[in-house]
Amino acid sequence: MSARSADEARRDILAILPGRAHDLARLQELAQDGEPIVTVIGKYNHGKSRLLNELVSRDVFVVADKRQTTTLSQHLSHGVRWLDAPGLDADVANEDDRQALQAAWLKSDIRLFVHTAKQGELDETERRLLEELCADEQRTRRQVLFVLSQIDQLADDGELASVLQAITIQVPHIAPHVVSATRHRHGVEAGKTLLVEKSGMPSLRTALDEALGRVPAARSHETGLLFTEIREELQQLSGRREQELAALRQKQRRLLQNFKEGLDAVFAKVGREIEEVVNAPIPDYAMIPDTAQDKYKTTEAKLERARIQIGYSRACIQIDSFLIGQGVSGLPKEQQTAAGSLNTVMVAVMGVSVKFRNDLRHMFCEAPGRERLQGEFTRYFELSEASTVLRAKIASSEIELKAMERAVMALETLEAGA
Amino acid sequence: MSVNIFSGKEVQDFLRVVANLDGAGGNERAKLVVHRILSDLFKMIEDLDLTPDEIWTGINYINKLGADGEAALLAAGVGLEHYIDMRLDAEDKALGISGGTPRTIEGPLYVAGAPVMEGKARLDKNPDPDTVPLHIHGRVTGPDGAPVAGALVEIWHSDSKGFYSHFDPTGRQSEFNLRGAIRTAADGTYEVLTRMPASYGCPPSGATQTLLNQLNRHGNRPAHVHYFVTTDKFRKLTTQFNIEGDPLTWDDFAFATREGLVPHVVDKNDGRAVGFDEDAYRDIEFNIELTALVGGKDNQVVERARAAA
Repeated sequence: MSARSADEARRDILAILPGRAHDLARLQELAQDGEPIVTVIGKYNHGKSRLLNELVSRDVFVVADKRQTTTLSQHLSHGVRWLDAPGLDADVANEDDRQALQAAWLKSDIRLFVHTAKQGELDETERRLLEELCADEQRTRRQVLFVLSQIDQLADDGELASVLQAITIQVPHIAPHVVSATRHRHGVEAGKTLLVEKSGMPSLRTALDEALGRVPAARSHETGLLFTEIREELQQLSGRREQELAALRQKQRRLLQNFKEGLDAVFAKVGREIEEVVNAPIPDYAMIPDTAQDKYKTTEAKLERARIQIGYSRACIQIDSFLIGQGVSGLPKEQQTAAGSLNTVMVAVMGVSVKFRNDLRHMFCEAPGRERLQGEFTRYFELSEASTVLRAKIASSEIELKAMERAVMALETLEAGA
Repeated sequence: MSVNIFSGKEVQDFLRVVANLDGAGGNERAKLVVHRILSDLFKMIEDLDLTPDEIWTGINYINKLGADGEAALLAAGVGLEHYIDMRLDAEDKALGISGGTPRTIEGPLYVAGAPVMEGKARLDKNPDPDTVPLHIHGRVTGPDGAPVAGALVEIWHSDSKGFYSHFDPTGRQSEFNLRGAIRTAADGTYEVLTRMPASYGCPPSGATQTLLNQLNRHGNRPAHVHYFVTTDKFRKLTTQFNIEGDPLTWDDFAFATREGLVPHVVDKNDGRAVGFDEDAYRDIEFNIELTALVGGKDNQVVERARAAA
């Protein structure tokens, strides 16, 4: 798998699950399968860098009284990558904290959580972080070693005992390794074995070596875990979206069917009424023009024209009230004209040209005419605001579902390359 | 129960207060008109003993009329627009003005701004297979019969569905389809190639036809072609001609048909020679005689809201 296709795959997944950005970045780290990474985490001035120097037996990490380590410094030694994270600050999330978090969460296989004994118990930030790391260990099997450092700076064993007691109450499920990097250094330099033993460093070293031995299994577990979690989340999301889409499509079908059935019923009713009008057993005088002398007179032709038009008008009023109930009465915006009286679906479909008996017969009593009118009304139903909104919802739902399918395939690609 | 209170002092005082007839400010003409409309309305309510239900039916109808945008249509249907013409005719008679092509209603569908053509114009821009070619031609003259050169003849009419361009809810017509402005030639003639309009009526489920249903009347008009004829020497003419043979010619719901406005229609077969794409067409000659200004002024120009494009 090329770096580019892996990037694309991650982008496809992130488009659906933005909350999985960290997990995907972590999977990217895991896929590289480099040396085990041990990260030292803790507040600044808690002796992290000195501890690291003792663990790698070299002064490679800068030790200072003031806040010194501001970037992620690392050192490769005996097949292990050691990371010295910047000191965790209690206040705001600044660049140092981002680096520290990246070291703690993204890069590390094993976390050495360091707390200086002279501070007594953990402060709230430390306690919460340590809890989080322990919870993460339960989930990902990335191991946490809790180190109580700089015990040489305590007055006596009594003070140490009371600090330990306080900490045990705070974090009962993880026992600290009690160490003094300074004593270890003195012991090594002076060749004092007992001092070296009493520094706590050898037993920390042993625990660390055991933890390092478990790293490959932990990595494989974590890789599997993250892929499974992401896959399940994707499946859940796309399952839900499929259900929503099916419901929307069903609604669309139901609304269209309701409209068509309702329209059929209205046309059946007005069809019968129009049939009576056009088949009335009286002569059709409507087509015979009147004369100028008839201008203000009633003629049989005028009466017949009025009768036909009123019958037609009553049919239209019934159809229009059905359309109003269906939200289909108003003309779509693009078709509206400056004459408000003409901005109705009724007028657009029926036209305003004068209808005589034959016209009404073709329109309402014969199948092709009825089908043309009902087809036109149905077309305006599809153009109505409610139909348009529903169609847009379905379209965007389909696009999202496609993106989800892409994300599932992208995850398979990543998993195959892992 | 019938009661008689209209002529009493209380109702009469009330009407003067409602129109603020005795108060200062406002528009005196409007006060007078409103006072009179309300007085006549109140009197009618008493004379016909209208029930509150009937009064509210009327009030709600006005709302529907407005919502449908059909007030101008109702004005034609209840003869208000024709009544204006009857009064103008009577004024002419009183002024001793006779002759000239009869005026008739403008209707609500004129659009200003049609491109001006010299002598001759083709108006149909969109195909309309449901109707046939129509050739209109004629001469514009003054009261003395002399041809009027350079008169602006504006023409507009409907398509086969009864729709006018700019007001076509089907969206099928392009701008100024079946509309034109032709300047008469030196001999006063004008010529138009177009397609036969249809008879058409009020929206069948609209407020106007709904009222007409109660009167047992239809809301239809015969097929017609609208005209404005404008010069700087004579009075502006607003008129229409009807298509001879249309059964509705003398049964126009707007009462706009007049003698002198139903020219003969002649079937002809040399369409390609006059400029059509087919041979069969119908031919109408419609000559126009303008009338003199009154005291040097045109008293025919009507100000009303009109569309422009």
